[in-house]
Amino acid sequence: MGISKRTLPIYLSLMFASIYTAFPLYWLFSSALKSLPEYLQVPPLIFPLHPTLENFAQVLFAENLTIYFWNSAYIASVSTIISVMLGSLSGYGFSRFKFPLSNYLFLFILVTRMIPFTSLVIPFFLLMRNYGLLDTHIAVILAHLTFQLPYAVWMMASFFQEMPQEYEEAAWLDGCSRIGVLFRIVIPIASPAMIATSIFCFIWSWNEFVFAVTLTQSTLSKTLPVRIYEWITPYYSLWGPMFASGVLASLPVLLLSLALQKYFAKGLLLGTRYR
Amino acid sequence: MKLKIQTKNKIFGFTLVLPTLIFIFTIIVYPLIMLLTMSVYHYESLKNPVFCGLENYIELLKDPIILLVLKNTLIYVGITVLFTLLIGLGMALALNSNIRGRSLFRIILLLPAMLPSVVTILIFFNLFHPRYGLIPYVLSFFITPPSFLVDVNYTLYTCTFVSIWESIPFVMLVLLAGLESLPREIFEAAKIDRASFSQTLKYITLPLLKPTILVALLIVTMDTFMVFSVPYILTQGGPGYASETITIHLYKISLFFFQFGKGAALAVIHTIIVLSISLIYLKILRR
Repeated sequence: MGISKRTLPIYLSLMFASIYTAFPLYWLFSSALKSLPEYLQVPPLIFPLHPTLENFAQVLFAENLTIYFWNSAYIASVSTIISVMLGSLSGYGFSRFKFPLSNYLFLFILVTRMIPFTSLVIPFFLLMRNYGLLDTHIAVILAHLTFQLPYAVWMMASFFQEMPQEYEEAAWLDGCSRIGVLFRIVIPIASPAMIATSIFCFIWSWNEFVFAVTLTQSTLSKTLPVRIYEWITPYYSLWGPMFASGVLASLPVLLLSLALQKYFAKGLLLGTRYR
Repeated sequence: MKLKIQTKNKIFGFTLVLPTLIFIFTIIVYPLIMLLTMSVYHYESLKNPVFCGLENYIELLKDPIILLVLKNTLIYVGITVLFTLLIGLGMALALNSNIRGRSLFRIILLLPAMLPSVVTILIFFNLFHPRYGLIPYVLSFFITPPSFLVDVNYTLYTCTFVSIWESIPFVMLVLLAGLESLPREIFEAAKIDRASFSQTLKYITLPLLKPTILVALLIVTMDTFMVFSVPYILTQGGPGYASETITIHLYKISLFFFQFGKGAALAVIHTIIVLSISLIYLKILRR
């Protein structure tokens, strides 16, 4: 099917929409290659005239961006592992076993997902200060669990509800224990869903800003988004390092989400974006 | 001691859920209870907080700035939700037709959803920059562009522009999923009856899509009520209070001016608003 009278307006609107959504992305990548005077040029340059990698060299070697990379990766990995492990166990528990109050507890977890994070930030800040945990990885990990954990529970429970029970029943009849069924049957079948959930949790933690900017202060725990934000201040704007570190922070996320396309719809439907 | 299988199952199920519950109580419920207690205390620097009943709430109600901030938030939410839904619906309808390159377009249109919010906002900060931003430059051919990031009359709308860009992929995805689940036969029947595009849209697609649109509407409303990073990074809520939303205001009075009691009271009100929207959402979802 080629372009006909009927499909032309559709193509045109999709082209227009693509420019609208993709241009800022293009602007990020092309601006990262500009040199200092090119940022201040009017008219602004759509293509860098003399593309250079000096911004990347600067942030990676002179500005030690790797330390913030490590902080972000560490926080995102640990919080993701905790939330997906606990989320899978309780998702399985909620969808297969009925115990007193189980429906209410599940509903309760769904509701905690909707609590605005800006309301949690302030008590979190005071709690962490009282326990001397400000500017540590643990503080940010706990903070990120507040949105990852309910999300993981919801995601995994909805997966288990769709998963057929026959295998579990067969294993159970063959004399396998409950824990055996869980580890030998359920977890292997659930692993694709667990991986998808992990990637979403990882991306949200990697991108998260509010908690990170409130709870971190130094290289000990500061994450990548906070560092990127600090290139731009009311007094000066370091565009080069900002765009270069922006590219470095976005690349893993973009690659992960391309790998994730199949689950995109579901993962995003169940988790509103966390910012 | 021999337990019945059913009892054992119950215990096993509860054991699976228990660690999650412990976590949720310590990291969500406990801070929320703390927030409630904070909201009835008066905080003065260097002194112990003093119990003051509902004074913080009363003070908030009397504060003219709260009205302004609330108005900003409502404008922010209204504009963002309206445009996100319109553009998102348009994109979803275009993507739902079967044309070549559909999956490529889908990826391109969805990517913005995954970008770190900070990066998105700073890209727009550069694009809107009053001196060497691309957007004022392009506009200068047609009009005298206002300073989008500093002009009192524009900052709020500049922020909504960025929020709209960020929220569209999500809405498009929800609506697209809704469109794909509609029964094909009706559309074929409409085609046979030679219904025009606008007729099909008005009498078939939109009425059938109504529940999905409602879900998208509620989620975006909830999300936008919670918006923080966009105004915080782009304009710091300024100039003055021009682009300050509830979230920015409660963050500032708590962490910049250390009025933790007042900030907590505002946070409680904010949480109640968002939770009531989310309860409507859950009710629709369970139907």
